[in-house]
Amino acid sequence: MQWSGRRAELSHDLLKNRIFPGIFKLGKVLHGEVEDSNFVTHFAVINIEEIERLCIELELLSNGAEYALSPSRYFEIPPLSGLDKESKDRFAQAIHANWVGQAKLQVRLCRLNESLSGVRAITSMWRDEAKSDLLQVTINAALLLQELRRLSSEVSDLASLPPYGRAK
Amino acid sequence: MNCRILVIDDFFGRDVSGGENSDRDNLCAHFLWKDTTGDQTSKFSRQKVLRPAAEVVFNRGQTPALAPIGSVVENDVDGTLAVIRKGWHGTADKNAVPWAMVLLDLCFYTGLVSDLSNGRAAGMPDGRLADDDPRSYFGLTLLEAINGEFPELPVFILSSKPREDVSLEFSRRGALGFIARDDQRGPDLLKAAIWQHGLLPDPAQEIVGNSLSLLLALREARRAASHRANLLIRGERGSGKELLASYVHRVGSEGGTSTGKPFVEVNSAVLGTDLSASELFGIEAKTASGVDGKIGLVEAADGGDLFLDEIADMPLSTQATLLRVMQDRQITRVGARKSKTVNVRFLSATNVDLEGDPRKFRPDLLDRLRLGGTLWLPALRHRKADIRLLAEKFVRDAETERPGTLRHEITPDAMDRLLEYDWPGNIRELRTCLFDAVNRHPDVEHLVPGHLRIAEVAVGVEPADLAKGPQPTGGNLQRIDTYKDLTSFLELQESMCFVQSDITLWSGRLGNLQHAHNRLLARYLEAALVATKRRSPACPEGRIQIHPAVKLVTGDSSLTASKAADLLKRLLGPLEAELDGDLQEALIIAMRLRPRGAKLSNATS
Repeated sequence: MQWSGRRAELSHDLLKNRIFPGIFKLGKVLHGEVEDSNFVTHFAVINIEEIERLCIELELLSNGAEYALSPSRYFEIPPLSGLDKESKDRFAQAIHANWVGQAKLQVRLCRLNESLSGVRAITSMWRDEAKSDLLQVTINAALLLQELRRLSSEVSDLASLPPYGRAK
Repeated sequence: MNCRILVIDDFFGRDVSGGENSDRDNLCAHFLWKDTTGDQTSKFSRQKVLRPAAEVVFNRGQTPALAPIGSVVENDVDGTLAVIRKGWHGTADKNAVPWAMVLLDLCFYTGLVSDLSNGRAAGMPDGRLADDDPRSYFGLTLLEAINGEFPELPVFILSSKPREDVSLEFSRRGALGFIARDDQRGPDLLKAAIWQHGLLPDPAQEIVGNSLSLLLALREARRAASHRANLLIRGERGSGKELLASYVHRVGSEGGTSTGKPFVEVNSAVLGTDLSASELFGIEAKTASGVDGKIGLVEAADGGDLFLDEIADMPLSTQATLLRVMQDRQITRVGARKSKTVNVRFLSATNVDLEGDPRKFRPDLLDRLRLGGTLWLPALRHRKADIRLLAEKFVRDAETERPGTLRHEITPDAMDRLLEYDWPGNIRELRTCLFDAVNRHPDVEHLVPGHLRIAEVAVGVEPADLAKGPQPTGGNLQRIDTYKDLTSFLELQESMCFVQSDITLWSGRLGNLQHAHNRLLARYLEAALVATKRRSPACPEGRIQIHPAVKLVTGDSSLTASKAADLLKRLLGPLEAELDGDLQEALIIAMRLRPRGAKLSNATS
């Protein structure tokens, strides 16, 4: 699957359709608006596992971003693929270097990885601390939501890069 | 909770055997929905939403709804429209609450349900390339189809796809807005959307009914109620305009912030006397010897609403006074030196054409009265779907008012009779008919067609009139032309009774009672004036005589001519603006006979 398709799948299907609604439900359960006796325990196992899986997938995505998003890939398809190898390599390298600098790719990837670390810090805290402490669960849920929003924003930011995405 | 929403979404609407779809539970918990889909997913749900904001039915928008590994999922426009039809006006089950709104997803994944796709989310297919293309989202195709068949059904997009990709398209195809599924404020945004656009019945059930025309009128009322500009309510007699005014006041703004604010109701006709200034603005203490201070109607409604019923009956002199108050937002009590600023929203109601004659109703006042808009209340014949609910309510009310009455069931053929009739007198006429039936037959358990005096109750309405229904203008008068009409009318009057079970029912309505009483007596007097005309060869059409006519109406043969003139002035004075023909001439004669005499106010005999 292409980079953009995989990103859309992770963002839409996993993060927005599954992980966010799960955290929202946790909030409602903790506020006493919804009764579901096992949900807090269930969340600590199933949902946290899901978030950790998301982090792994996004890390892979982040690692492949430089190659997948670079305009140098235009040299792999016609008409630019028809150039001689030397010209192709020279131009592709130059364009790639220029794009990496212009797009501030390393800064973006760095921010994305910081977000991933932030999310992971919360999930590991969740596993380590007493799950019966509802106050701590509430605090962790709020922190987790905040970090996941940041992560979602960084992923969208990366996907919006030209030439394939629409710059913000 | 009277809000029923249809959610069309491939992911949350899919059915999963064995209750493995916790995704739907999560979404329901977030929006505080009660899942009433009735499929396996909803049956296996273990969560309980304590105070649900809405009842929700999920639909996948695709076939099959429950897709095992190896099956192929395809989008399904026809099947989805059929589901909407089942919960929509005119085609819904008679006991079903119609959809208040549809929430529609954009991206629907199709294709084979493989081991891999099923592993990621049970019952979800691999997806095809075009599924995820904003230019070919199935949600937009479905939206167009829904809007084509159900143009009145409000649709909102509920999606986690980027809004900017489709904002023009979803608006063009008829969606009213977009709520991002991952937005934590989603429940609040949806609540506001339902308030603004949803088709909701009156939660207090004071206005009974679920028909489309009523729900549209209530929606208009909610929208108009959110500001403080004056509103004019129009509708035929007996259609419940005062209840709509009360609804506007209750809903006030979203969340019902009018709680505790005053709602003052007055019949405009009683403001047609020389006491109207003190009635409207109050009177300062010690203005005259023995006069206590009194708060006026406008001041009493300060911060809330003043409901002017039958606004067309307001005399021109009072109209001018009211116009000044609306312009200045200030009142001065009679006898006071200082004025007071007031914040009053004027709600007024009429069943007549106020634009018809500027000599009777000031156009500038009319403009002020409808500054915030005009609300139209549908006639009962245009909301026949509500007759069943209304009839049940009136029968229960009649039983409550008459202790010891058996519980009545309306038989299907009696209900058919109620549904067939056009009810020119609207809800009031339906109520009278059913109260009459219960009062005359307290000991039966089933109301059959023979118990319903429908034709008789509609006094003097000719079959031709029944077919075309009531005219929108022309006042409240119904003619008694035949012996049968008169007999029925007298029987109806004799069968009426006022039970004192709940005195609050009369609160604020004594003005209406007094006015209705005056008008009824005026109609009797009109008949008596015709009956006692002195005819001669020189004047074959006859001349009216007020003395014998008043004696006939009162049954008092010892009444003197001057007392008869005083009585007539008291009776017709408050109705002066709407009199014509014999009644107008009778008042002129009485005024000529007794230019000073009794005051025109206090028109009770």
